[in-house]
Amino acid sequence: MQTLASLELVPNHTLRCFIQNWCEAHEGRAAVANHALAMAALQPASRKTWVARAVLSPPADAATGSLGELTRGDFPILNQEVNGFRLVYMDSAATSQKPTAVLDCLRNYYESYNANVHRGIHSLSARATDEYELARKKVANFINAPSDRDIIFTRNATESINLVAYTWGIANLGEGDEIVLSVAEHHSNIVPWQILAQKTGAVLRFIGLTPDECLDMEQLKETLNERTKLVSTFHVSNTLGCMNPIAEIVERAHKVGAKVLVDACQSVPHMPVDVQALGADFLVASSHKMCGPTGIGILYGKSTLLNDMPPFLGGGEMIADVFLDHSTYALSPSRFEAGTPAIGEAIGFGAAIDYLSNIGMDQIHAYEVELSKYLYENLSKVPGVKIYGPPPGPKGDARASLCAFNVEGIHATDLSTFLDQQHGVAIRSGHHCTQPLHRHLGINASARASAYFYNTVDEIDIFLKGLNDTISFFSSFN
Amino acid sequence: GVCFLIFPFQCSCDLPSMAASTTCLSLPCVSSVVVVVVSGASLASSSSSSLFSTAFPRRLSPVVSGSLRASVSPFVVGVLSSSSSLCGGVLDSSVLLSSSSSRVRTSSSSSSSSLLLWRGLTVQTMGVEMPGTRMAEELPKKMQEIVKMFQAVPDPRAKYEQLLYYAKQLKPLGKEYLTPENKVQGCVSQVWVRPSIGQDDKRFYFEAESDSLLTKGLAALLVEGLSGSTAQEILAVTPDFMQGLGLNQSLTPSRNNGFLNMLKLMQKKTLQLYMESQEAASASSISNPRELETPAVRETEADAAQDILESPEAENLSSEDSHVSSTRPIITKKAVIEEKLEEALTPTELEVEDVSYQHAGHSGVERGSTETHFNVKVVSESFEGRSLLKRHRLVYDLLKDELQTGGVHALSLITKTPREVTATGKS
Repeated sequence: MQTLASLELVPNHTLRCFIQNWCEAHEGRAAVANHALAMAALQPASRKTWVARAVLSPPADAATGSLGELTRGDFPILNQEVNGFRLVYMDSAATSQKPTAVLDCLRNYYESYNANVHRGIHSLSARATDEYELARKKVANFINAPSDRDIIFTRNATESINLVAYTWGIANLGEGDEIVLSVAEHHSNIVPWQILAQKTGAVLRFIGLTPDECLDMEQLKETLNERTKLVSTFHVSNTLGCMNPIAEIVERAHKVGAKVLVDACQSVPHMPVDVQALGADFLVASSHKMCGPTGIGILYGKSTLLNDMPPFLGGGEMIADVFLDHSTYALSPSRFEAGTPAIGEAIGFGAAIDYLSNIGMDQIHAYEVELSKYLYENLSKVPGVKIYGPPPGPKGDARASLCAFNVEGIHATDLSTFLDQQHGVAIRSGHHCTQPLHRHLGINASARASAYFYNTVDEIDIFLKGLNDTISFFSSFN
Repeated sequence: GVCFLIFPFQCSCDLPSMAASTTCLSLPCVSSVVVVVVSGASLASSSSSSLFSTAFPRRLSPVVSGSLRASVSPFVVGVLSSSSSLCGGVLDSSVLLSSSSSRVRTSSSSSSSSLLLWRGLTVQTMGVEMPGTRMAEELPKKMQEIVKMFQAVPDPRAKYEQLLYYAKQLKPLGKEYLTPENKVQGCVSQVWVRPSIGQDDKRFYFEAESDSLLTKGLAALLVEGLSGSTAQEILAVTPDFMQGLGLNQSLTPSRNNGFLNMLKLMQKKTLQLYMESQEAASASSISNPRELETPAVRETEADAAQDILESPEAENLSSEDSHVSSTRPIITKKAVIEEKLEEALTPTELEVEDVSYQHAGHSGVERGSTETHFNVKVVSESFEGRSLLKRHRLVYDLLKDELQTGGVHALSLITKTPREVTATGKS
């Protein structure tokens, strides 16, 4: 990432000022702009030096720009206009954008070494297998799993939860056993358990919210009993933004002999997550929410559990020996990865993890705490706005960098349509896959703006300005 | 003089304002005719409609109309486009224009485009057809007016204001009618519709409700546009006209689907009510009661609707050819076109080619519709002594039914006399 520091090389003072002004007006594209513009303007001799300097200049430090400003240039998709306005993407909680590094990795996979994994002897296959397994190691390191054998590649977090329900769930649950969930869970962490309950006769118990709209830990304590076999809950809520004290929940659940599954879809992309420190029995996450490609997700499970679980999908790869009348199965993780996997996507996921690790999850989290505070405080000031979930707290880290909200008298869909059409701001409206939560809160729908590390405070300002304009537009009709 | 404005790019929303500003500039040069040349396959109907509304004095934005009214004579704009469906619309408009043209210049570059220009024509006769509005004739009158009004509003924000105005005017629906049966599926917000039959006129009226203002506006459009129509008129409405409103570009796909589903629910409920009233009444209120009883299989309501719709069509066809069976006549539009042209023009050469596949997926072409676009080549003595305009108009007049109600969107015409064919040596 080149900065304006490299401009000192430009001999012509007027030209330097011109480039500086142009770059400041187009922040975020500074790196590309610098290079391209200067290239066009300089004399041949100095151009060569410029190129060398630009390539070798080190990445800028945090002092010259926020994390959002520095990383924007890595995300080509953010550089566009919608409906005549510059795109402001505030829906990363639904899916994140992908940096060039991930896109290049995907392309490189298909151009250089695409081959089926685990089967072939030839060079391409060996290389593909190595990269695929390396990606698995990267995931294991990223969440501090004890071994890469504890990481199963699935299609997404939803499939991971279904995998647990259909294998561990069927094998271990019976009539009267209890599964504890919360009213704020994503549908993917409710429906598989409903299906499992129908099949096995197990019972679902739901924990409600405090007046602050956080998980009611008191109610959880009271609900846990010796019949509880599983507690499955979010780490960070995609609608309320609140965070669950997972370590505490795990401790309490283990005391009564229950296992814990953590839905980490909104936490792994945004902060350091350590599965061993949490003590979780299962943890699920999706690649597409953390700068990786769609179509790949993970299930982490403790080795003891995984090796006892019967197979999920049957087919190639997950077998040891196949006879006509029976087959023997491989060990985990292969046992749960039937058929040809999404090889390119897994490797791309690995590249995304590299990209995030290079920035540092602590840096990302720290920046998002700022964004979260800024978003929450300024959105609260808009008249008629009700934000769901707890406030950010004294340190600002008690909620995620997202806000689901409603404006009195205006439907969420009207808000998001107008924001998109008249301001180029992308937010989500609806029930965000948490219908029970919306019913619990007594609302039909809500709008949600979510920020990721490539968003800036300026973009939040554009969103708020647009929101105010939208509100006055609709209010003038009432 | 003639001023040419050439925009060789894909049409975008900026075109109307560009056209407006350039026409303002060109006027002082005493040019009474302006030709706007646009090439690009994706000429969205809303931008073209706003282009036309910008060009014509009658429905101009205040900025442009002031300066244009200063000009001596009104002018007409022709559009060169590589989209033949639009071209078909332009050619069609030639049929509707009065014949006071003093000068016609044509150039046919490809088989799918022609440039036509007239002077001294009044705007009143202009019923310019864009792909979305071709269906306009099928709509109840009130719906047509609403469509025209939205087309006249080029600015998206102004369209929203218009929509919200409708939402405000909508009469609230009683709470007892907010039931699951009345609820529209596939809508991001909640929408209910309730039809009823007028006591005196036996026509259908609607009420609707929604919690989202924009959706309420859309519902209000449908309520306003369809209330007071007959069952046939309501069931004949195809969703194509939505493009004509120019709102779909301002609407997300999910909302668009909501509009579609609103219309479908209204049509479905109209049919239900209609069937109930038919069973109750002894005398039938449709033109051809026989059609309701004879169809071989009526498994779905769609079939029943089809029967009601086809009763007038069946009569038309049966009077002209003998292919009609007592159930649904299976007859290709191509055959009908050939038949009609044969009969009227006794051509020495006639080629009718179905090129609908080239236009599948165009906005304005309903998915799954067939036989929508044709290439027609006619060589006939009847064209002798007739200008190109007159020849095309002749063909269009002959195929009026197919174009207006038969689902044919556009024809690409080659009309020659036998002498011309031998002279040019082309066949």
